[in-house]
Amino acid sequence: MKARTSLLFSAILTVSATQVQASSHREAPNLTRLPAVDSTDFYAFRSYESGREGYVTLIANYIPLQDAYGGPNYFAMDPNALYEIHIDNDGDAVEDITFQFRFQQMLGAMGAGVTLPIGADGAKKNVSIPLKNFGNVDTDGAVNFYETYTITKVDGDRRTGTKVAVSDGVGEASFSKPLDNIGEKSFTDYEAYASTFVHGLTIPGCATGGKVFVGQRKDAFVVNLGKTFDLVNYVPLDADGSAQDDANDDLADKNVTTIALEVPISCVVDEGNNVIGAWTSASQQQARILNPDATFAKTEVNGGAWTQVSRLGMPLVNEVVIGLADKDHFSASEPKDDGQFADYVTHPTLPALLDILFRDALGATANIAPSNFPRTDLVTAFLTGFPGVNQQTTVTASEMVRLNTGIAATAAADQSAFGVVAGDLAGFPNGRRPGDDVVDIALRVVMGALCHPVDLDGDGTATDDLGLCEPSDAPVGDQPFSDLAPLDASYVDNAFPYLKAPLAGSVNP
Amino acid sequence: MNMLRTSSMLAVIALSVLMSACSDRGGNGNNATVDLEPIEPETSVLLTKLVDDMFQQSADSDAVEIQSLAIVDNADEFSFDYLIQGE
Repeated sequence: MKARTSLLFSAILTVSATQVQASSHREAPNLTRLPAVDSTDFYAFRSYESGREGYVTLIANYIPLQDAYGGPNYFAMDPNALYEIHIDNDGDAVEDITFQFRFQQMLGAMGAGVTLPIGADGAKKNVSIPLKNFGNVDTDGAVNFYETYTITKVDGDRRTGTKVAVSDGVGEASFSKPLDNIGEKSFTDYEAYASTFVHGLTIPGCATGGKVFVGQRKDAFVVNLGKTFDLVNYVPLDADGSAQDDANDDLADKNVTTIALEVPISCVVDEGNNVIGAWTSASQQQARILNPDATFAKTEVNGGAWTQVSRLGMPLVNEVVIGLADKDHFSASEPKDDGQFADYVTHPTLPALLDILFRDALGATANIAPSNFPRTDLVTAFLTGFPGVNQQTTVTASEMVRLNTGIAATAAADQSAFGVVAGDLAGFPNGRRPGDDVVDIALRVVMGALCHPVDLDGDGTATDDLGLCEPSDAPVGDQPFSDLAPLDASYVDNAFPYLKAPLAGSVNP
Repeated sequence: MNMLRTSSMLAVIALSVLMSACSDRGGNGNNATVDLEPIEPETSVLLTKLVDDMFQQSADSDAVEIQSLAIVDNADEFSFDYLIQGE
C-alpha cells in the first residue's frame, strides 16, 4: 500500500495574500534558496538616451552575485516562474499596468541537444555534449542552449485584468535572450552579439513602440557589501570626498540578469499628474512535485496559483529597513498592504544601530539617531513621494519607485549621483537611475538629512528647507554618510539598456 | 519650494491614514472594553488533499491559504482515501 502512495511531494507551500520587499541581493531568508527569482535592483527613469525623450525605461535585475565564470550552466532565468513589472498610475498602490515575462529553454539541434560522434570508425555513437556552446557563439553560432521569452501586457489587476501579447513589431511574439558571457574564446565581440538581442516592441494600445532586452549585464549596483553587513566595519563618513574608492565596491566583479523595458510615456500614465509608481515581482506556482526521473524537459511539475516570492521597488528597504522576521512576508506582499510595515519606517532601527556602532567613533556624547517620531521625513521619502516632485495626486502610503514622467531627463554628463537632494530632479528618489548612489543617499536620509536644508534648486548651496523635521531632530543629519564605494552615471552606458556588458567568464591569454 | 514646504503636513496626513489603516485591533481607547478576536481552532487538512486543492487552482486564482492550517503529513499512507470516501 505504501508503494502505491510513494508520492514525492515537494509542495512549495508559500504563504500568500495576507502577508508581505529592496536594492536587494539575497535580502530575505527564503530568497537565498531561490536565486533565479531573487530581484536585486529596480530602476525607473525618463530615458536619457539622445532621441528617446518620450520614453521611460524600467529595469528589473534578477539572479544576484553572478560570478562570470559560473559555468557550465551559468545563469538562466526560471522557466517555471513569472516575472513582472507593475505600474500604478493613479496612486492607489494597485497595479494598473503589468508587463509579464515568461521564459522558455531549448537545447540545440532542435531540442535534442548537440551530439558528437564518439567511438571507433564504424561503431560511433552520437553522445550529447555537456556544454552550452561547442565553439564560437557570435561568429559560428555553435550554441547548445537557447532561451526565449514572451511578454504579456495586462491592463488592470495582474491576474484578472485584460491580457494582450506584446510582439516584436514584425509579428513575432517570442523574443530571444543571449547566452551569458562565457568568455573571450566563446565570443569574439560579446557586446556586439548582445546588442542584436535588443528587440523592438509593438505594444497593443500604444501609439508608438518600445524596446526590450533581457540578458546578462554587469551589475550596476555599487556597495561596500561585506563590510557594511559586518556591523558597518568602517567609519561611514567621507568628510571631504577623499575616502571614495572603487576598491570598496564588492560587486565590481559581479554580473546580474537584466530585464530592461523602454515604453512610451504616453502608454503608462493616466489622467493624473504624470507620476507613476513602479515595482517588480516574481512568482512561482504554489505547488511543485519533483520528478524522480528528472529530464531536461521535465525536472518537476508545477501547478496552482501564482504565488509571489520576490518584490522590489525602492532600494534597500527589505535589506536594511524591514525586520528579519518580516522579510519573507514583505517579499510576498503588495504595496497596497504596506500599512502593516509602517513601524519599520516610522520607527526605524537602522539609525539606532548606527548610534550604537558609531557614537563614540564620531566623538558624539549623545544619541546620534534622529529623534523625530514618527519619522515623517522617511514616510515622505519612501512611502508617499515629495509633493511637487514625485507624489501622485492620490496619495496611498506604499513602497514603490515613484517617477514624475513630466520632469525632463538629465543628460548623463550632467547627472548628480545624489539626485533630488543635489538639485537634479530627474534622479532618485524621483525614480531611480543606474548612476544614482542610493546607498549614500539612503544612509544620509535615514540619519536625518531631510531635517536639514538641502540643495533642491541645484544652486550649489544647501539652503532649501523641506519642513519635514527640524535640524535639532537629527544631530548628524548634515554629515556626509557614505559606504565609501563611489557611483555615478559614468559607471553605466548612456543608451538602452544602460547597464554595461557583462564581465567575461575568462579572458584570452 | 513652497510646495515642498507643504510636504510635512501631507506626510503627517498620509501617516495618519497609514497608522489608522493598520491599527484596527486595539479597541476603542476605552479601558472598560477590550475587543479580542476569537481564537479560531486550527483547521486540520491532509497534505495530499491540500496539494490536490492547490493543483486544482488556476494560475491566476488566489493562492490557497495555509497559515492557519494544521497540515497532516499523510504521504506515507494511502493518500487518496479522501477522494473515494464519497463513492
